[in-house]
Amino acid sequence: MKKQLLTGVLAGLMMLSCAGCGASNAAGSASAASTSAAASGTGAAGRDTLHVAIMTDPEGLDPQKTSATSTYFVTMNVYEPLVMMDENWEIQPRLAESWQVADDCQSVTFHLKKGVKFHNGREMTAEDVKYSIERLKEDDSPKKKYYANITGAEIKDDYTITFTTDKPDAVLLTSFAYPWSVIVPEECADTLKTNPVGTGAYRFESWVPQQEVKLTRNDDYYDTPASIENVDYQVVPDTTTAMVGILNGDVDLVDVTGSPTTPIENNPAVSIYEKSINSVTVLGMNLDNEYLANEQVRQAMASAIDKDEIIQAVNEGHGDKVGSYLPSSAAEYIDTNDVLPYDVDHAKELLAAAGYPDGFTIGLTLPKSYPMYTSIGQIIADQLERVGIHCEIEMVEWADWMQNVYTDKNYDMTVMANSGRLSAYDFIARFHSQSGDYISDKTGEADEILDKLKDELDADTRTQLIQDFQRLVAEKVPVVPLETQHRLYAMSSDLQGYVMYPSETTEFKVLSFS
Amino acid sequence: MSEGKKLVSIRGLTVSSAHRVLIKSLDLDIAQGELLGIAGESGSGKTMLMRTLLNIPPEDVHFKADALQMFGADCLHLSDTDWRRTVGKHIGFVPQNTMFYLHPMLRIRQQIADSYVSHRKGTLRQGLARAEALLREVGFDDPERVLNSYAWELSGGMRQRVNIAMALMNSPELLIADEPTTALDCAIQRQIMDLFMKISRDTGIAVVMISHDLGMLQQYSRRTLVMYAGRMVESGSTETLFCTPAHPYTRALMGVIPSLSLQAGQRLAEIPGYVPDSGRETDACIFAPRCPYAGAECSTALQEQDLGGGHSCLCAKPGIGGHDHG
Amino acid sequence: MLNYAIKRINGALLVVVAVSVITFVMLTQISGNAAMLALGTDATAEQLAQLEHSLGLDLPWYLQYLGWVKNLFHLDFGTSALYGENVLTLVLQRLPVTLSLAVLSMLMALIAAGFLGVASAVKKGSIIDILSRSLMQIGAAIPGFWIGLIFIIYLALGKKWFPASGFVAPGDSFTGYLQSIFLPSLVLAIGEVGPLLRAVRTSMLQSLQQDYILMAKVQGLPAWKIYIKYGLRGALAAPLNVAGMQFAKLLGGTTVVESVFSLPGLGRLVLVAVEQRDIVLLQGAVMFITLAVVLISLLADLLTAWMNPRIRLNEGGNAA
Repeated sequence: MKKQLLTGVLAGLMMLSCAGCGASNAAGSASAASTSAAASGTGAAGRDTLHVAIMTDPEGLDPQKTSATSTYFVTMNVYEPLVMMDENWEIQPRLAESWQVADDCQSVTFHLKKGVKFHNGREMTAEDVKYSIERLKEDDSPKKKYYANITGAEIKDDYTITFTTDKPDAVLLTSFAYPWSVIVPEECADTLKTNPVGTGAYRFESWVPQQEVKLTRNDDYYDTPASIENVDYQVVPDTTTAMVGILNGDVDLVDVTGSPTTPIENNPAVSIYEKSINSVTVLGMNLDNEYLANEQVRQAMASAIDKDEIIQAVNEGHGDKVGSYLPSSAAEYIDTNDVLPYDVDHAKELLAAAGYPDGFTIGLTLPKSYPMYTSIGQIIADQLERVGIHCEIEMVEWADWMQNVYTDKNYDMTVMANSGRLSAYDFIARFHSQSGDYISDKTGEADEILDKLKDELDADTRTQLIQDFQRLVAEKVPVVPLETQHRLYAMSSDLQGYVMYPSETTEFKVLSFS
Repeated sequence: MSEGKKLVSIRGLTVSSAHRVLIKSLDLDIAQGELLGIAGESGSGKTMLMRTLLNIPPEDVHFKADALQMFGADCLHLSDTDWRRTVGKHIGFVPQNTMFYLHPMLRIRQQIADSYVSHRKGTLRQGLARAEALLREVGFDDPERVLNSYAWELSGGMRQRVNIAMALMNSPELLIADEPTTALDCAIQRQIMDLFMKISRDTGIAVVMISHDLGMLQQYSRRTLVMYAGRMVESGSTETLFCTPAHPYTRALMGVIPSLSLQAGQRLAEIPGYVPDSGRETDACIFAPRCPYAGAECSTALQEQDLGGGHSCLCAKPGIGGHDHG
Repeated sequence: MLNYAIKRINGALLVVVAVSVITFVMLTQISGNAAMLALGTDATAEQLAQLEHSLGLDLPWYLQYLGWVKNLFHLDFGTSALYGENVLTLVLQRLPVTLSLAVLSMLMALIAAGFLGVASAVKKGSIIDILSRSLMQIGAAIPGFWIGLIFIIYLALGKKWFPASGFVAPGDSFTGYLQSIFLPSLVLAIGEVGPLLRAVRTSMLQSLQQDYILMAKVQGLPAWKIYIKYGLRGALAAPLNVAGMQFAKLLGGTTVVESVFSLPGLGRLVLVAVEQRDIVLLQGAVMFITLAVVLISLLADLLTAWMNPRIRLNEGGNAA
């Protein structure tokens, strides 16, 4: 009797499991949420599908409502912007076939390609372009402040549109080359988060949160269709498991930045793509802190930090040391590493001169969810200890970091990387003392350069100003710039054509299996 | 003593635990069809004797013996399992504390036939049929209701009857009843004992009653053994033993039985001292320390004395002090 | 029995309500919120304030809570801020995974603990007893993620008997389903076996001391009957209780295994919801887990009570 009851309970639970599966199949996202056996040990998958392992889910599939790179990694194949900046920092046409920027840099006119269809069948027109750009100015758009300057949008005809700005913008064109400045259909706007509709070479098929995203080739694509038929993103939270996947042949592409690559380096079945990221990892500092307000203290710290050791230890050498706040891959980059080189004795001298011969104690807030930055932070703490500066390390969750460090500026030091912009000014603008950003130069010394740069239209003068800025930051160190990391992708050796753009995006339509 | 076939024969049994000797050099015979009483107070070793015989000794207790035979089997050379199967087949055990010997989570019908099915290789239905018949025999009018009950739904007397019925399932040749009348009130006691007698009369089963209730043993057993501190100090026919006890301990026990002719206010006689736990391994008389007649000869090795007519006694001075008793 | 059941059900409901309040309070009081995380490091302070207002995040926690409860009455668990998907859908999608892991690992642990527990009680002090007790300690000490990764490397990468990651729904392929949950369940079971084994062993030892065992032995019953029918039956109550509690714990505690084996279960859902301060999603997920835990505990309790005929037939009855 009791045995029967026990069996009955167990059977009931099992049935509940299966019922839940049924529910998930029925109530899933747009299409059937089939959890196929693709990721389960089938070895060399049929070469019509690109299996990508991603660490975290995309934060919704609407790139205009989120700033997560995990989202862009998917959406860059589903949506397209008007123009794109290629790996040589040259603007290339996408949905716009040609354009003219006014001499006064206060307007730009785009001529759109004809016959481009959204995935729902409707043709893309200038109306859609106007809608999409204006959508970036909505309240819940994370990039709102970058589009505040674009105040006018004038539609000449179905395929011609002119945008006008309030103030001159020397790099106006770059605003249209980002993963979020893509063109979206208005009628689908409310559901783009779970059902993205764009003009891209791949169309959206399904998304099972925390499990997988599936894309399939858009056969109505206006340009050369993609070579690989399907893209299957699998969420694999553990890097070791992902590595096993690459070795197993279950996974064709995975980001292995910051992971040890020795197990796969010499494996003929795996190849590695490496490229400098358009970003700078810094030791961020709050200049309101009594110690950090003192320039000599900051310089002492910069001298006490051995950036080579950091790059070797954390990135296995896959990083470029930088002396100033501009990514090593930027066009205007100059090498300022010799302004404050690693010199422990000099550091101690500076500290003594600043009035702290015995050092002091200071806080260091590190974001738990980014193991790379916490590793860097710990090495820095170690290095600063050698000159007498004791760091009290606090590990916080990302949400806490956002609240305490970013929003409330309630911190002393932190380690973070800031992603580059396609224009240097946007990247360095936060250093303005009025920026209210979490890192800035509150001393106001950078203000002069930045103000001039904002209004300068001449390209050469701009380059000069940007270089002046770099020298200033290298010397005054309102933050200690550390490195530009290299992003590493591990992929099956038969995957061809991989290339990463400055906006840290990749278009899978150019990939193929040999 | 009737010269019936010997069902059980034990020679030189010594039982000890980790620290001490419990029973020393005990001999015992149980004959077919006899009504045997084993008398002793607590600590006398009668329970240990029973458990050794049934092969359910407590955890750290072990024994050695010169001979231990039952029902034609030499138990000293049998495996545990085989010995228990012999016990299960030929002996019916009626336990003392009835409540806990029946599984509280099983109905009577779920446990009463297990032994039958196991030994007789009969089906469950046959077993239950026999159970029903036996329950009727032991006095239940509604065996069906009893079979469907749990042990704790029955009264003490009812449980005792169920135990007896269960003990009879395999038609054993020997019934061992451990303190059959303790924890029952007088009227029920008589019913149970009469039932034992009836069974013995009808089927010829030997019944061994282990008890400290001398009055009951006097009434119902034909032969009695007296145990003290792990030894059998006296054995003989019940009549002889109770009329002319030879061992000073037995005599003292008889004096301890309250007599109906006791005057009000007259103190009950008692034996000063306690049953010794330790020192049982000695060859000398174990009762000597408490014996009013102890002398020098009592500290030498004791021999069993045969007093004729099946009456024997383990004493250096049997019969001393005359045969007066209460 | 009925009275007992009713009392327990009332208690269970209270627990569910309490948990919902506590979860809500905790998530709204800790630093960071969904608006901040969505907008990232490029938003202005005004933008943040505006978004917080439109999402209702600037209301005091009890008002937000009441709003959530109101929706609950329409059986509307809300929409996840993070995924934009219906919370109920998200939870139901994941329930099968977590349930499968919990059930299979519990089965494995029960079978192992059952065998070893009975064997080590029956043969107290023997090799089997010593081995079982060692297993208990080792199982509790090994970190789940480590043994999980070892399994993946040797059994998934090396021998290819099992997939390294991913969940296969039973509807798609039943063998694939079993393969995908076998290793993670094994990892969980190794952690769970210890306390269960101890409970079975102790309970069995107690049961074997009882007089009904003596009776069974005297009757010369075969060994398995003595130990299983009589011994184990009397020893089920405590282990069942432990098993119930462990199962309940498993339902909320599969996060590590889910992460290592990339299984989309409730554990990871809760983790992400907390990290991203997605209040609605977290409430929905936690509610489900709580309900499941409470239900299982209740079932275990009722089962234990029912198994004891004295409680089943009369309220903690007394012998006639």
